[in-house]
Amino acid sequence: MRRCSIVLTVLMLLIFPAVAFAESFQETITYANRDISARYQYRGDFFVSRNVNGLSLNQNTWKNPINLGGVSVHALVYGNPWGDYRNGQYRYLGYTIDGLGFTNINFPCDSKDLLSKYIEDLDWIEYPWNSALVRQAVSNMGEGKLRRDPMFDCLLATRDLAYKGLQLEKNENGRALAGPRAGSVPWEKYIHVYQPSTQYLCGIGRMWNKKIIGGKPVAYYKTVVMVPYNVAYPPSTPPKGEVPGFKGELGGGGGFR
Amino acid sequence: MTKKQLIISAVIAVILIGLIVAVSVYGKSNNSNINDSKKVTYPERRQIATSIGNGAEGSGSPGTGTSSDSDSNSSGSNNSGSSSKAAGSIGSGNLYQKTYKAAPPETSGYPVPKSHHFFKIEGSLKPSDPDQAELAIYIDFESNFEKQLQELEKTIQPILGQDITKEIVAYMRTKTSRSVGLDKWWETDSKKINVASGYGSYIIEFLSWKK
Repeated sequence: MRRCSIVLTVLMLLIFPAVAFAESFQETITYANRDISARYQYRGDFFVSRNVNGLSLNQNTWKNPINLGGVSVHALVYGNPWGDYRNGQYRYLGYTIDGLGFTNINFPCDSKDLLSKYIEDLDWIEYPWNSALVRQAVSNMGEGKLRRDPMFDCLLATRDLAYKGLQLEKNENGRALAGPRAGSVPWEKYIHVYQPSTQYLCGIGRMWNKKIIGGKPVAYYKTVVMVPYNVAYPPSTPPKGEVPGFKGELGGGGGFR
Repeated sequence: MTKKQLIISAVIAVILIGLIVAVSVYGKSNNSNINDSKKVTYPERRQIATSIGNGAEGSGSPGTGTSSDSDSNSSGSNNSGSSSKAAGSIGSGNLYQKTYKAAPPETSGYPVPKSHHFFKIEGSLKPSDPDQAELAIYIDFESNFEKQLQELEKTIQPILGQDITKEIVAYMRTKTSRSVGLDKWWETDSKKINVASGYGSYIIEFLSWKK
């Protein structure tokens, strides 16, 4: 019986943290969905339990955020990391709801242009979902089909959120990726959004630039993080108390507070 | 096993369960408004709109849109395509508005109805670029689906002919839930057509390119 009590105690000790913290992932999804519904007028839940291929949202990927200049980038992806493996990173963190590859911002860029150029100096492709070159590149990578998202692509907010995200990045030599003119680029026209920003959750998307190699145009992609709204637009007055019951977490997309 | 040991085990178990309950309750109280979200507006959203001087509030209600890219998904935004402002500068403008200016859908040559229920209809985003669809019609299959299909039929039949139009409409009807994805192409002598809808999406897109 003593053995039983020890086993019971150990089990409880093991179960306790799991139960205590298990809710947070679900709450992230709940908050993110509510934020997205309210902010973007998206009807219903943007993040659902499984994507088109039956893969579920990956709690492990979410639990291990990428640190980008002090901002935690939590990715809500379906399935497991996949693709090429370089410098300890997979090319993809998982998949989008539609089965498109969800690229990993920590995976080394295929093109080395950013070693010598600022991000704004590359030839970014406007409205990439309509570009035959980009569609071909996505297809060549063995991903799903890229299509414009009528809800989240081309929003004015993306311009600022992406610019602030790009300002956090450095190239392999430690130089800032964004140069002096990066603030005057309409980034939203180039970025296909996988994960829209919420108040506390980073947005993630991808853009493509065109290079001529051997006389032929080639599309290279760059994963882009869009900072959360609370980073880009910190509330000037605390929201607490403004709305009955509001405690600062609503729409948090993460419930990190 | 003595009675004493049993009691100690039970006490430990009760304490641990108590801790679990306490942590759960604490978490809930910290996020107590999860269940009240429908009643709560977003203060941060209002603040953003005010602080950047939102002068672009607008709406396009279903059935009334005739502008180049009328949008029944208001998102608190005016998607009339007038927002190509100084790049990089948010300046004045609703954060949730689209920033492109599409050509009027009439420029595609399709007889676009003056009044419609489409989620959105727009002409080319870049008329000089053949990669860009000359006409995009977005249909919300969860709202006025039949009306939108009828309007689509009237819009595309004169250009694409009866047979292809019927096929397109029939294909769109197969979107019976969000978990149905669509992606199919048609070609005529002069047009290339794509009908697609993402998994999980309630929007079906009809895209037409010149050949």
